[in-house]
Amino acid sequence: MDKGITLTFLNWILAFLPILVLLFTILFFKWGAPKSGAISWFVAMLLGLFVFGADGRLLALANSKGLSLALYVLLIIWGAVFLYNVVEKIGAIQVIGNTMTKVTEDRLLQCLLMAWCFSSFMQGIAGFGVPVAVVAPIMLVMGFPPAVAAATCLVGHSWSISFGSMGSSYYTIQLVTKIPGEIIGPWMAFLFVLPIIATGFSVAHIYGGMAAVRRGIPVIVITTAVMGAMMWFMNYIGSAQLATLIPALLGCATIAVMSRTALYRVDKISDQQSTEQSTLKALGFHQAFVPYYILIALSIMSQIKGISAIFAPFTWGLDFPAMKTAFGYAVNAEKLYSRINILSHPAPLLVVSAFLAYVVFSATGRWKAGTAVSALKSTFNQCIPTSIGILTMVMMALIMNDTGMTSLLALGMANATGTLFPIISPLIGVLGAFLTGSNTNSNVMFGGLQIATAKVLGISSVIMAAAQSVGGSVGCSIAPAKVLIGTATTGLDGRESEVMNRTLPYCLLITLLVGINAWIFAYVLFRDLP
Amino acid sequence: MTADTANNKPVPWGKKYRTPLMNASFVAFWLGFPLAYIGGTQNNSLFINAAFLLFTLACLVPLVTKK
Repeated sequence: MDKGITLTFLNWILAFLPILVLLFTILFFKWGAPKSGAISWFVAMLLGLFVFGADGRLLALANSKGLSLALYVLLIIWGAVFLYNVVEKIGAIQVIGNTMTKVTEDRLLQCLLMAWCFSSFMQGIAGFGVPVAVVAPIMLVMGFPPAVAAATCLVGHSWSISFGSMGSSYYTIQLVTKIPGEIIGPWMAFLFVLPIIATGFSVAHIYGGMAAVRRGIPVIVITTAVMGAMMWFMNYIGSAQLATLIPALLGCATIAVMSRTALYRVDKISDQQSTEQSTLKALGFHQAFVPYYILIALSIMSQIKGISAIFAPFTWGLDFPAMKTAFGYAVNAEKLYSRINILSHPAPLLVVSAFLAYVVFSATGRWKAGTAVSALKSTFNQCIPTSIGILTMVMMALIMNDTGMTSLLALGMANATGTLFPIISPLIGVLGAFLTGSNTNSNVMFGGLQIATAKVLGISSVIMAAAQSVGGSVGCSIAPAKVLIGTATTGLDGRESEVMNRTLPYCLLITLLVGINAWIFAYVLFRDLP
Repeated sequence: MTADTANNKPVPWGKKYRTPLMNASFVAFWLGFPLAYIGGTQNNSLFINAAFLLFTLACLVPLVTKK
């Protein structure tokens, strides 16, 4: 490396120190993301100032870049959680969930439908633990054992996180790596095919061992084909923010269709189902789904070139000057950094969907007074700690990027692993998700590191960035923050290790498969990809 | 420490004021944002120091109030 501080073991350890502090405080002190993020920010600031040659001006600009990036992500998170809270308070989430339980009497298909597809649909519209919090208790009511309900939900939806929450992780990996969405999105979809099928088989295995896996082969293979193809297609047409929501919905539909085939048909209709049907007449499925129909329609409209051209001038972003550390590490100038367009950013679409849902529910007399205020309060309470965790970690990651710590880490890792790096690349994503409980945070922490390492090794940055995000998605199945939600909502408080022991082998196996896939892509099939 | 009125148990102040302090921390980050940006682009040390002060206070809140 001809710029920045020299690569020595001590310097590499110092560059790793902010991440090490984050890891140590989360794992051994059991601190939450805001507290661990805050202490890591202090460490990164001090190291930047006293070891890596940054001055106050460079650090101020690095922090502002972090806040610009965090603003982009937080607007999506707040918008998605607000829309979810509005829909939940109307009672529509309950209706959607109950409708799903009526689709089939076959227990394996019920398990796949709820834990693999419906929880992924919930990830598409909300995320941030909501899929586990909503679906695991419903599975409990359906008669699944608590540990199975929690573990299948955690593993089952882990393919859907990168493009979930209206694509917050997907947008983050773009922002951090500066790879355009139309390039990285389809490659992420390619790499996600293995996790999609593997999570399907994992759910079947957790539910009923090898017998369930064998019985589930037709439905899992066909549903994977539908969801994988749809994930790629949504990226191809430029609607990546729907690349979880639409595939997951079609996955539910595919399982519903498969349940009526000779392979899985069960004729018995239970009394419980009939009762549920009668209570659901108050609000139909399609009425309950109106806000998401609106969101899908708006998202598709926003991709129409004529419409997006009208809104193109309504873009906000900050310009940043070029900087250099005392050791000569150069930071390039940025134009409209982390730009937010009023139409292409998901947050305005989410808010408009919530407003139109209010109009529709009011017109049909289903709007409850005070819903909006109550949803806003819930969103505020839910999002403040998450937001502070994201803010501190994003600021820490940007300090590490702009002071040369990330590139030093990458150089050291490239030297140590050599051509095997693509195999451990998704494991780095898993580590970030494990630490922070978030694919988005994982991408912020390690996206730059993956790109820098790929450049040092001379392999495709696009594939490594995609592997990072896929690893971050899969890693959420073992993140303590997510596991805690699973145990809390299924009455397994204090038995987190029981659930984590069930999810860990599947997570590691899927990560290894993704790593091998990434290695084949990087070194055999697509060597010329930038 | 302050006293819980219902059970007369002492409640750590960090726990008692956690929510308003976390809200204040969230606001402090966004107040520091324009100061850091303007200070950084115009090389204004007053703005830069004010931004660092706000960020430091904002980061201290989760450290003293969160588990």
